[in-house]
Amino acid sequence: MRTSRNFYSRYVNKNSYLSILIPVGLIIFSLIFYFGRFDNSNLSNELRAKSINTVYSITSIVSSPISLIKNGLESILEIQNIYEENQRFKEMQLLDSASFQEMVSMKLKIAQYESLLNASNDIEYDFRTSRIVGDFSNNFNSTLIVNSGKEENIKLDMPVSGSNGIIGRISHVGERLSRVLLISNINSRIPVIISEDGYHGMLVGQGRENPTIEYVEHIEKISIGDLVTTSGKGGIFPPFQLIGQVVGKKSNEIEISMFENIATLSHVKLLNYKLIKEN
Amino acid sequence: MTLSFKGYLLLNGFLLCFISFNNVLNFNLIDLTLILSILLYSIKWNESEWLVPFLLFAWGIFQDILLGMNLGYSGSIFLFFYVLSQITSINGLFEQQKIKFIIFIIALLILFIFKNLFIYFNYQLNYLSVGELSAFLIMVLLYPPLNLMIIYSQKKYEEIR
Repeated sequence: MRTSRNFYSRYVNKNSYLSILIPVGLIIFSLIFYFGRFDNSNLSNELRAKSINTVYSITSIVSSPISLIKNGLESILEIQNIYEENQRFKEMQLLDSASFQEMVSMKLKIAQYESLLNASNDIEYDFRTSRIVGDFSNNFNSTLIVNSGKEENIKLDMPVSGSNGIIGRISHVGERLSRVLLISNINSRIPVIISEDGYHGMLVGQGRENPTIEYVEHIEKISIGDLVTTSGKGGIFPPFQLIGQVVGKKSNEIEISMFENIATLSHVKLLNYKLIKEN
Repeated sequence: MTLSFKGYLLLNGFLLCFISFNNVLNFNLIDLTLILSILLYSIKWNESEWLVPFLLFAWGIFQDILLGMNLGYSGSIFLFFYVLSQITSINGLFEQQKIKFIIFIIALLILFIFKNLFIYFNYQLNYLSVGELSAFLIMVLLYPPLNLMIIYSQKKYEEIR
C-alpha cells in the first residue's frame, strides 16, 4: 500500500493536482453560470448587446479571407444556375400572373366585406430590410445576426421575415447589429393559427429544421398541407403572417415545414407594425 | 507543451481564428466547438500552464457571445476536454493512442447524453435525431486525423524550440 502510494505520489505532484483542480473549478463555475441563466438579466442582456458589435467586428475581420473564398464559390454556383432558373421563371410567369390576378380580386373582396361588416383595419405596417451578416442556424440555439441596430431604430421583439414568411424575432439589439432568434430556436414559442378554420396552437422551436405545434385544439380536424400563420396573440407578431404548412401529425403535436429556407436567405425584413387606435 | 510568449500568441491567434470560422462555416453535421475540443484534447499540455484554462474560459465566453449561447456553454466543453487531456497525461496514457481514443469516445458520449438529457428535462423536447447521431459519429471519425495532425505539429514545435 505504502509502496504504491509512494509510486503514485512520485508522478502525481502538487502541480498535477492544480492543473486538474483549476480547470475543474472553472468548469463548475461555467456550469453554474450556464444552468443558473444569470445572463438572462436585463444588465447582462445589455452587456451582451453591446459586446456583440466588438466580438462580431473582430471575428469578421479574421474570417474575411475564408468568407471571400466562400462567397466567390457561391457566386460561381449561382451563375451556373441562372440559365435554368430563367427558363423556370418563364414557365412560371403565366401561372404567376393568373395567381396575382386572383390575389388582387380576393383582396378587393376582403376590403368590401370589411366595409360591409364595419371591421376596422387596425394594423399599420412598415419594414426595414437588413443584410444577414452572421448565420448560426445550425445548432439548437439557432440565431442570425443582421446589420441593423439602435442606430436604425430597431427595437427588441420586432418580427423578422423573409420574402415567403416569418422566420423569427429580434432578441438583442446592439448599436449597429441585432440578433434574430429564429423560429427553430429551442427557446422560441409563437402563438399560431392552423388551417382556414383557425385552430389555435403554440409553435415550439425544436432546435432543428422543422418546428412543431403543441397545445392544438381539435388536432383531429387538421390535415397535412394546412397553412400555418401567426395568430397575433401575445402582441409580438402581427396576425396572419405566413409561417409554413403542416407536414406531419402525431397524437398531440403537429410538425410543420417552414416556407422560408433560412440557409438561402441573404436579406431579411424587420417588421415594424403598430395598432391603429380607433377614433 | 510549455508555452513561451510566442506560443501563447500562437495559441490565442489559433483560438481566435477557429472561433471566427463560426461566422463563415455553417454545417449541420459538423460542430466547430467539438472540433476545437478534439484539438485541445490532442495537445499535450504542461502541468504548470495554469493560464491556459483561464484563457479557454475567456475564449468560451467570447464564442458564446458570438453564437448567442448562454454564457458558460462553450467554455465548459473546452475545459472538459482540456481536463481529460491533463488526466491522460498525468496517468501516463497520453502516448497510448488506442486508450486515448476510447477515452475520447466515452467523453463525447457523456457530453452527448448530458446535452440531450438537459434539453429533455429543461425544454421537454426529444432532441435526439438521426442528424444528432450522425454529428456524433462524424466527430468520432474526425478524431484520428486531427489527433495525428496535432501530434505531428507538436513534435515540429518542440524541435523548432
